[in-house]
Amino acid sequence: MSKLQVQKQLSGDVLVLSLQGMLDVHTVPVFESALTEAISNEQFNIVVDLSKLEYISSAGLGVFMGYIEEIRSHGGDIKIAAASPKVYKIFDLLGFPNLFEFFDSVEVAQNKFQAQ
Amino acid sequence: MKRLSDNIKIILLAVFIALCFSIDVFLFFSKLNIPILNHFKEILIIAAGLTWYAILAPKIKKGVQQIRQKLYLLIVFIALNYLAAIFINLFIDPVYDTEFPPAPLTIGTLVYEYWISLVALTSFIAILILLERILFLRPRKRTRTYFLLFIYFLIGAAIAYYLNPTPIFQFSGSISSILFLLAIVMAALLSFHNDWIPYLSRSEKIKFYFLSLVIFISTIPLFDVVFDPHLAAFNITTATFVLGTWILTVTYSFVVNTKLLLYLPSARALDRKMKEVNSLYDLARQLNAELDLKRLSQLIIELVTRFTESQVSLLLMKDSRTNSFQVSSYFNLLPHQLNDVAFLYETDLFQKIQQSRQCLLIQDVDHSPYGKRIHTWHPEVQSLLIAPLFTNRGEILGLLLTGKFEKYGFDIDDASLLEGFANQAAIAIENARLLRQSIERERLSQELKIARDVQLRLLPQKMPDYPGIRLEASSLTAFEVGGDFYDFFQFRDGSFGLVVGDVSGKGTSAAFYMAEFKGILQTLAGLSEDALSLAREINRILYQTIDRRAFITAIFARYCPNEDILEIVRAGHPPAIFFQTNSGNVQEIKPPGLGIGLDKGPIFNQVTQKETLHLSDGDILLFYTDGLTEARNEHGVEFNEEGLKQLLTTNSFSSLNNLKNLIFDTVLDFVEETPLHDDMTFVLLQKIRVREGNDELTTTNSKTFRKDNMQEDNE
Repeated sequence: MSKLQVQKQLSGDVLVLSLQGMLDVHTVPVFESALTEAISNEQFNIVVDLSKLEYISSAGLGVFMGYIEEIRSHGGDIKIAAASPKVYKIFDLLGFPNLFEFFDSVEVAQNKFQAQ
Repeated sequence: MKRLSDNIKIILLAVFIALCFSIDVFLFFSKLNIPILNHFKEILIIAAGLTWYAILAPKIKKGVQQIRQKLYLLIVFIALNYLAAIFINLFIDPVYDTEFPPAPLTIGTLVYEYWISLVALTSFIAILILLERILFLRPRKRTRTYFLLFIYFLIGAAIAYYLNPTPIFQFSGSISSILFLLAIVMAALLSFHNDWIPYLSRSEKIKFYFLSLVIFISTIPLFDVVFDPHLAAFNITTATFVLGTWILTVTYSFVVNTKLLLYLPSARALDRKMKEVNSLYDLARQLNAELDLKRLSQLIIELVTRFTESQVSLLLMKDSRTNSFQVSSYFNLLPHQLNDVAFLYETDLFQKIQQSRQCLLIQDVDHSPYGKRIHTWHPEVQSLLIAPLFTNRGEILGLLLTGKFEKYGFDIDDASLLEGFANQAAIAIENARLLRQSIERERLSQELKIARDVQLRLLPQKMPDYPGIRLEASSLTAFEVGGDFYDFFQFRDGSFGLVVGDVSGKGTSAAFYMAEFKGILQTLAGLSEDALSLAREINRILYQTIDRRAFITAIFARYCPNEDILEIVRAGHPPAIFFQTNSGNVQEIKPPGLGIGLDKGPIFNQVTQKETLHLSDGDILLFYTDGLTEARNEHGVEFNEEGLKQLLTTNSFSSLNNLKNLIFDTVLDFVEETPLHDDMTFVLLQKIRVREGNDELTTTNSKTFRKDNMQEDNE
């Protein structure tokens, strides 16, 4: 049983990846394979739902950086939604809100894609 | 020495026989009856027999390997008797009286009698030794007893016959004949002690069948054709011994011959089984000797193809990451056949193998439920064996397939053999994997050790002296190599600079980014105006080389001694803590900023700002990495920023060094036995009064600092 579970849900052309558990150096491959799969399926509009994520380490933050360039080059984006204050603090400290769009809820993030 | 003693024995033997012959010649011509001479003659013959035994016994070796040789020798010794008889018949026609024991009527008869008897005696001593060796190849519990009883009864009978000579095969109820009968019973019992037969190979069984037949047939007529009546005439004791051994030879060769005949039909099957056991043992040994995984899988295919005599073979190994099977090695398969093996692990065929945990035998592909699928894969394969490979925890490791282009090419024995082999192969593969892992671990820990050495050398070896400030630093690594670092430097205008940083990730790559960071820092610092431009330049350069997933967080500080101000630039790093000693006020210094290596430049330069503080004497700044605030105790509770701030406000400390130890001890007390999950680094800076000591400090210490820095770089 991995410490991280990734649930995939496709609504329209937006893929929602819901992370549950801990995203650290040990669980990074789980998240990475989900993103790799999304790219190979040409799903470039991705919302990452962090409402059930308890912890994120620097390796976990690195995953976003590792995929964003390719996704944006295809006209897509990764939007981060519903991060708990504790998890958001880690993103914020690093300056992530300057690089990614953060939303309070998954719906708002999805709507943002649709609006575009 | 041994040769010499053998020679002496031969001389003794000749002397005994010559003496014996002299006595007989004397008695023949003198026609006297002197009992003492008869007794003496008896002793001489027994002595001659024992001497011959002593010569022969050491020369006939024990051991299973020489059965064939022993059987040949038996035939030779039997044939010798016939040859001796034919030879002597050319010259002499024996004549005896009608008494018992018969007495020779001519001197020629005496010679004849001696010739026949001596050949019989010597050859049958040899035959008895050979029989004994064969009997004791695989003795049973009673073999020794029966054999000894056979000898004792024979001796007893010989003595009895000597004392009261009667024809040996006239069973009169006398003691002698009873004893002789008992010896025959023993011979009959011994004949069934032939457990060496089942272990013979098929070809040996056939060969030995004929050899034993020859022995049996050629031994029977010996008595009538050769011995009678010459042996009795020569010496009744000798006759008893020779006839007893003759009977043993006849019965033993008969029973052995019959048993060999019975075993012949099953010999082929047994032969195969033996070969299987031997080859499995042999294969296991070969497999265990190969520790390289790639060569091992090739060896498995090579061996399987050879011992099953198959036309095609294939080894599939499970990839634990993707849960699919990969071709590991193969024999005589085409590329498209190698790409088309999914049917082996994606169909009910695989389910069946995995559930039964046994080798699947398909004797006729056409009439098997999987026939169509198999023939799509390979049209020529007509019979097939598929064996699963399991780990010792029972998980499936791989599949071993082997096929022939003929129907019924394999049988159930092949299946069990392949199953046994697959088990051995699985063990060998697991062993090789474990070995590879431990080598890999060893290599990794060696690598980490080097990286740790590099990292430790990158940290300042001692605190610099700089006028107006005092410094303390502490760094504790959680793993062999962490990503935390700190450094001190000077800006272009000579103002003091420090940096505390954290490279994302751990291990060797972190250590190398750290080294790169330090190199860039030390190069650029002396050229930079202030902390912000330095941070921007470092980001610009590092972004080009750093892995997209990696980044560095850092906090930079610049202290200008003339104005007593401190600039802070935070590149995605945890904030600094500012402790004003006069007011007891504690605040986080957290100017906006982005981690280094996340952005090429524009966003970084736009986001990252500096914050300027005015320092009073005694004011303290604490720069740290998240390992300090995220230090967790056994309940998973973090020490956090509040704990850190509280620590500064509620405790009093006499010196900066004192504070350093306080922070360190408090955090370690907090986590208790829980191992650190991240590095823990912090640097303390305190503003001190410059004019407190003497005025020289301002200038000289500045120089000292520069010198220190240079030394450090030279290391």
